[in-house]
Formats: sequence, C-alpha cells, structure tokens
Amino acid sequence: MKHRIVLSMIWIALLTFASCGGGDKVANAETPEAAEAGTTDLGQAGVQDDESQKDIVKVAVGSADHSTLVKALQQAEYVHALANAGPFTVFAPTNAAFDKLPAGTVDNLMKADQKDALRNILEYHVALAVYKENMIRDGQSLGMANGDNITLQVKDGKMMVNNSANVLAAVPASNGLIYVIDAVLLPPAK
Amino acid sequence: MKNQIIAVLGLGLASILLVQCKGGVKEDLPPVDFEAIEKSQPEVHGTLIKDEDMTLGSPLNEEWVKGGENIYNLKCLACHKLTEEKLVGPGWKGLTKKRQPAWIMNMITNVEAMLESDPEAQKLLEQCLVRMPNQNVSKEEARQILEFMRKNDGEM
Amino acid sequence: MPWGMVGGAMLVSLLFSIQACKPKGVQSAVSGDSAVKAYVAPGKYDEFYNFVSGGFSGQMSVYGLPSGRLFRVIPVFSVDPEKGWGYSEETKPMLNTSHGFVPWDDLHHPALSTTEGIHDGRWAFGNANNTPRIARIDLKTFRTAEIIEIPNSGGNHSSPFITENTEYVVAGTRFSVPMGDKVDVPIKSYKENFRGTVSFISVDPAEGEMKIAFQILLPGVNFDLARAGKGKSHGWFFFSCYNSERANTLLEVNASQKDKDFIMAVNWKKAEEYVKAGKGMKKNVKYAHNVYDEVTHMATSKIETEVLVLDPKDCPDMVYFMPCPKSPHGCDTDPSGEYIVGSGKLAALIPVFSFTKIQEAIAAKNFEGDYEGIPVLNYDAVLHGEVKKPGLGPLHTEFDDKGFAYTSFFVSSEIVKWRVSDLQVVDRVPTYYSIGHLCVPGGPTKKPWGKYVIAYNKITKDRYLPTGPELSQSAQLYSIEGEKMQLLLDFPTIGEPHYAEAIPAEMIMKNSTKIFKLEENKNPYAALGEKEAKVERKGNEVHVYMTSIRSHIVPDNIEGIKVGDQVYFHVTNLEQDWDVPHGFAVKGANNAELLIMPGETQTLLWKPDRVGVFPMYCTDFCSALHQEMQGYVRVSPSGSNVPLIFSTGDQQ
Repeated sequence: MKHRIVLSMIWIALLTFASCGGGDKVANAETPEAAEAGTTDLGQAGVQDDESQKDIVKVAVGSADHSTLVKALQQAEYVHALANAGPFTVFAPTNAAFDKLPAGTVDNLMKADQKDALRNILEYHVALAVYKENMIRDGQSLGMANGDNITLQVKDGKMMVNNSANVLAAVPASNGLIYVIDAVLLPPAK
Repeated sequence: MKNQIIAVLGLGLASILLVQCKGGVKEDLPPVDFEAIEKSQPEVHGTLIKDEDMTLGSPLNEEWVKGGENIYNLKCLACHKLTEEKLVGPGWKGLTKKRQPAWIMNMITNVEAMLESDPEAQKLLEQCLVRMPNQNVSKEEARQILEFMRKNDGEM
Repeated sequence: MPWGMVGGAMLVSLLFSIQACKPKGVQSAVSGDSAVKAYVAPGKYDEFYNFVSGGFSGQMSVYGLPSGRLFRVIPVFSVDPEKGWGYSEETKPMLNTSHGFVPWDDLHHPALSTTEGIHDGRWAFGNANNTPRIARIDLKTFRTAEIIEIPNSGGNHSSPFITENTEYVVAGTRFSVPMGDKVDVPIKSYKENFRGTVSFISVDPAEGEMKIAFQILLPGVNFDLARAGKGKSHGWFFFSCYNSERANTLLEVNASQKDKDFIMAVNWKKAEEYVKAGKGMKKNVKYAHNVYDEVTHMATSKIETEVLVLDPKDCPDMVYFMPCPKSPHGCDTDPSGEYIVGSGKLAALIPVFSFTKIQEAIAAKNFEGDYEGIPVLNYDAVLHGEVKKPGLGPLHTEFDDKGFAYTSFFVSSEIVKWRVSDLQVVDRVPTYYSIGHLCVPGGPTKKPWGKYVIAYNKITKDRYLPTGPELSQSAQLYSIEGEKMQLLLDFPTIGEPHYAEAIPAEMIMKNSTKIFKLEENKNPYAALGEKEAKVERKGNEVHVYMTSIRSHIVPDNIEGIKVGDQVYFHVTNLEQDWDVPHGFAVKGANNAELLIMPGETQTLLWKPDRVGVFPMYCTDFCSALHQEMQGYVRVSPSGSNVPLIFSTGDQQ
C-alpha cells in the first residue's frame, strides 16, 4: 500500500515535470510519432473518392488539354484550395493557351522563385461564386481571388474574358464551374 | 486511513504545482485548490466524529427532536421505518441502544468514510445492497436526527 | 474530347507528386511531443472548458481542453428527449415564442460573460439564427436559464456578442425584413420596404436577466458578425455588413457586385443618451421572454408587446459606416480595443482599422459620402493597414496574449498567424478541412489566455472512419506556445461546431452546482418526502405527486386512471447526493423521459389511450437495485368506477 502511494507520487512528479515544458526528452522517448498511422494527410485534393461527382481539380486532371494548368496549380500549391467546398468559377486555359504566351514564359513561371507571381496569375482565374452562363451580362465585372477584376463580354451568345480570351466550353464540377478558355488571363500591371 | 490522507495531501500538492507552472494561464489567477473543492463536496464533511466529542443531554432537547423529525420525513423516511422492520435500510427502533452516538452521526454525515473503514458499516452494505445515499445533512442536523432517534427509542 | 475522360493514371500521379512535395507545414498529422501535450491522464481535470456551439443541432456542447473530451451537451434551442428538455411541463415554456412552441433552432455563437473585458465565468450566451432569440446559460448548473425572442429581426446571426462588462448582448439581423404595419409587400420592393435592426439587450449585473433596452433601425443590409469595443473603444460596437447592394435574390452573385461593403460602428453610449432623452419610438411588437427558475424548478413564458426603436435620422453621431472589402464576415477587435479586423470572405487582403483614426475621421467629418443617410467614413483615413495576400477566404480572427492574431481561411483551409503591430504574416498551418471559426482561449476578450488555437472545420472527408454520407464535423487543437503553431489533436464534434470560446477550468468548476436543496424546492407540485406522495383527481386531470429515491418510487401502484385522463406525474428526486439523477418514463407516453436532478421536481404529462396496466420505471441507472425501481399504473375505461388508489410496499 505504502509502495503504491510512493510510486504514484513519483509518477505525479514526472507528469508535473513534463507539463512544465522541460519534459521534451521524456515525451519524445515515450511517444515516438505515435499517431503516424491512419490517414494520408495529403490535404483535401488527396481524399480518395471515386464515387462523388468530380471536383474542379479532378476534372482538370482528367483533361489531357489541361496538363500545363495542372502542373502550374501544383507548382503554386493551389491544388488543395480548388478541392475545397468552394463554390468556384474557374477560367481554365488550355495547353494551347499557355503555348500562346511568349516563349519561355511558362518555364520561367514554374521556377521556385516565381511561385508568388504564378500563384497571383492562377488566382486571377478563380472567382468565389458560381457564375452560370445565363447569369452573365455583357460588360459584367467579376472580382477574382487575387483581388483584381475581370470583365466579361457576351456577343451573339459567345462569351469572352477581358476582350482577349474566348470561352470554349463550360464544364460543371462538384464544387463549381469551369470555363475552358483559349488564352491565359494576365492581371493588370500594378 | 492515514495512508489515504497522505495520498490526498500528495495529490493536492502535485495539483497545485501543476497549476502553477501552466504556461498559458495567467499567473494572477488563483491556483486551483483541488482539496478545497473536494471538501466542499457534500459527501465529505471533514474528519470522523469521535465518541468523546459527543455529549448526550437529559432530558431530550425537544426542539431538536422536532427538527430531527422534519428532516426524517424529508430525507430518511423513504428508506428507514421507525419500527425494527428493514425497508431499504434498517429500521430505527432500538438503534440508539445498539450503536454508539458517534457511529450514528458518522453514518449520516460521512458515509463514504465509514464504508471504507468501519466493518459494521460494511456489513450493513452487504445486507442492504444499497449504499446509503448522502442526503446533504450537516453535523448539526445529524445531531437533531439523533435526538429524534432517542425519542423513538423511548427516552424522555 | 478529353473532358470527362478521366485519366486515372494521371490522377494517381498527381496525388503522388502532391505527396512528394507536400506544401510547407503539411507534415504528418502530429509529431514530437503532441501526444503528451494533448494528454490528460484518466482522473485528471482538463485545463480549459471549451463551449462549442452545436450549429444546426440547436445546442451547446462542453468539451475539455486539451483532451477534446465531451462533457455535456447543454440543451438550448432544441428539444432534448434525453434530458426531458422541451418535453417536461416545467421546461416547455422555455421554447415558447411568438410563433408558439418551436422545438428546434440553429445556434451559431457562444459568448462568455465578461467583467472589465475579462471572462468572469458566470454565463454563456447563445443565439438562435432561425427564429431570432438569445439564450443565457447559467454556468453553475450548465442549464439554459433564460431565452428572449428578438422582434423586428429576420435571422439572428450577428449575435450574441457582448460589451466589456456584459452590459449588453447584441443581436443584429442577418435578413432585413419589412417591419411595422406594412409587412405584406412584394419581395421585389426590398429597397423601399426592407430594413435591418440591431438590438441591444441589457443584462442585469447581479441576476443576469435580459431585457431589450433598444433597437436601432438601419438600412436593409445583411448584418453578419460583430464585436464590442474594449478598453479605449469601450462604448462602441462594430458590426460587419454584406449585401450593401440590397439584393433580394441570388445573393451568391448579386451581393458580390460591389468592391466594398461595410463595417458599421455604433456609439452605444450615445444611443443610451438618446434613449434617456426620449428619442426612442415605442413600437408594437410581439416577442416571448422565457425564464427558468431554479427555486420553483419551473419556466415561465411571457409575451412582451413593446420595443423602443432609435432611428439614426433622429440620432446624429450614433452610427457610421466604414468601407470594408468584399462581403466582410468576421469583425474582430484586438485585446487593446484599438484595432478592428474586417475579414472579407472574397477579399485578397485583411483590412485592419484603427479606433483612434476612426475618432479623428469622425471629428474631422472625413466622409466618403453617405449610405441611406448614414455617414460613410473615408476608407484610407480609418485604415491602420492591410495584411497583404494572407490566404483565400478570410473569415475570423482571434488574438493571443503575445500580440499575435490568428485568422481562419475557409478556401485555403488554414490558420494564418500574423503580428498585429506590423501586419506581417509569421506562420501558417493547414486545417483538415475548410475551417470556419477558430478559438483562442479568451481570444475575443481584453485578456486572452492563449496557449492553444482550435480550428472548427466544416469538412472532414478522410479524417475519420466513414459513417455514410454525413461525416462528423471536427475541432483541431494546435499549440501556440512556440513560434510555430503545432497540431496536437483532432476531435469530432456535435452538429456544426460553429463558434466556440474557451475559459480556464478553475473559473467555472469551483461554482458548479452539485445538488438542489430539498428544503429550497418551491415547486408547487413537489412531494417533499414520501409522506407527501399522493394522487389527486381534478375532473379529468390526475396529479401524481411522486417521489423517487434509490431504489423505489412512491407511489408505485396506481389504480383508478381512466382513458381520456390527463395524468401529470410530478416526480421529486429526494436524493441529496451529487451525480444521482433519477429518470422517469411510462409506457406509451407521446413525449420523452424525465431526468430529475437531486432535489428537483419535474413533470411528465401522459394521456393514456387504452385500457390496460402500464409499467413505469426509473430510466437513469442509479443503484444496484435500479432495475427494481419500477411500478404499474392501471388504466380503466372512461366510464369505469374503479376507485383512485395508490400505494407502495403494501404487499397483502
């Protein structure tokens, strides 16, 4: 009986020590990465789910015409955000659209030190709301995720962005809407 | 019993230490006195009463008898008859002849401690199968109940 | 065409490459000493209480921190058959409204009472979003003590934020609505006929009783969230507003047209002066005010018919608007009261306003113009600065005790830590996933306790074992003691964990009620002792005055009840021992059980629908002989002359 009390007092003292912040050594020794097992911790884009409607990221990954965009989203660490509940309207330039940029532009943007610039450009393609085609009026301005606005033109039932990019198709996704465009949108110079 | 007290003291001390070194909680908050919190719980009324602490007067204090009867009706009658018949707990007839006054007082006010340390109390639990509930009775009220029990046993 | 043709191999390769180059900070869930930091040994107390709103469950839940253990779900706006809340005769009036009995609501924000801007551990307030109400929970009993309905409101989201000394609890309407005599109007006439209000509800400093002191009549925007000023800004209140476009349809698009909406600044001390000066107009309204009395153990509901309304047109210098980018959601004041942080849901930056500059701009009449007659302050004149490119979808900000702010970002699923003084981002951590509110213990007060930040996530997808289409929402606990935030623990929550507050345990636990004293029980139907147990008939009403104690009920044999009777079981729990409630249920009752605390009386109404003998029993496992704690009620045909008799223990 007495032994038990002494032991428990030592144990309490240890606990006291550990909770004082001086116990890192003790803690590490006793709990080596205990919670490693289980989930993937990839972030939202890594959720395994083949049953649900595809989100914007999965739709883009599934399109052979958008491999450059997908690479750019990865490089800018923008993949998980677009797997979020949204809702988003994403203007998705095709590979050909990226190819239209001056030679070397894409390669340059994909460099590590250009990540912020790349991210800014990609955010300029994303609006937080679903703007269906029938809601869009000629001359309408949309606020984009990077803080700048785009302007939409509607003529003869065809939609354009910033008078420069043609909307080729509208593709619904679980968390929003993708407009496929034939040119990369460049944020206004500051 | 003594061991228990040491353990409680140790625990209390450790708790205080624990609280004092919590980084995020502001130091000007009073540390938690877990011991005080435990004491304020109704089932703990401090130390057990000893026989020598008790004095029984004669004649009976009629005011206490009346007070004891009221408490009996509110808090005891559900389980204890005034006859010898056992209901949930033992009947009260003859109780003051059979048990020491301090034992009765302790059973009313300090039942947890009695069940841990007193063989007679443990035997009763085996017979009745129900722990006597703590009914939030103070020592003063218990003394009144004792007076009522004496009256029930024919004292004047 | 390539669309729709999902290249499975590409998806896999994408996922692999994500794993290979995980974004910074997305390390494996926990590392190092996380387990020890979140571990509370069996039998040990947690350091903080965490009061977490139940969102669409309508309730408030109580967790321990850092363990994440759930202690209690406090029924507030929704019925709770487990606790008899909204089913017992004593608690039914608590859910009464001007619309009658409402069994459900949507509780978004807890607010803990403060004195001089510091938690005082007395009450928690909560808002009902749908049928606008505010509840006050007594933190001695962890029970809802009072509910007051808010008239002239269409959805009580901007609520229940409190002033420094809990002088007022506010309630701003999310939906503007037509009010007064002219309410049957076309929805398209929104701009002419729809108005918003914010209500200031005074709280009695001793007893906590609430009263609508005044309402302010405002343009028809949507009020979203609010915070009181504190310290130097005590006397002011700040409300975020969106839909300054005043759209009445498809707000997703139509309320996002303008680059800036507003944060509204209200000088409530000035409003008090106007009330004193008789500037308020009395308006006829209808709202319920419900109070639970812990002495009679009964609630009463009273319908009030009048409210005092202040119109800024008659009350100059009381209300101002400050432009704030892109549909501001969170509107949070820092511990000093100098800085007001607006979080535009769609904004790419976080504006931080300065209270000193607001005062200077008001004095200099530095206005951009007016909005519906209310002056709009010049944005640049009141701005302290902007946190640039902090993340995507900023929602809410809480503060620690070291000069840092923590902002939640829904779209980018992260918490961003930034320094209030120079607005520099210093750290960011991912949350799993889609964080809404966040909580630092004491984070909204003058004196944050710090130590942890907790994320309340809307989406958990692969975080827990799946449970069909609906998954648990979650809380995630991070240590903020070091320079870097450190994820310690995930724990699932009830309903939607919308907002939460946390308070040091010692401020609450020392006051916790253990029993209700029988001597103080003034319920008119209490049976204080088995001698008082009885059954009485009044016409077709039968009142059973019942007692319960380990391990029997009195009476436990009842005869003479007839089909068509209304039988009221008034059950008094005679125990005076902590943690020994008794339950009561009778077969076929169309409501719920009773759960009766020690020393309390609660009443169940039973309308027997057929002839027979009906069992009744104690539902809360109370003792070794709990299973013996039972009885019978005999029900005879309506015309029968079986005499009314009752007994316990008279075995012939």
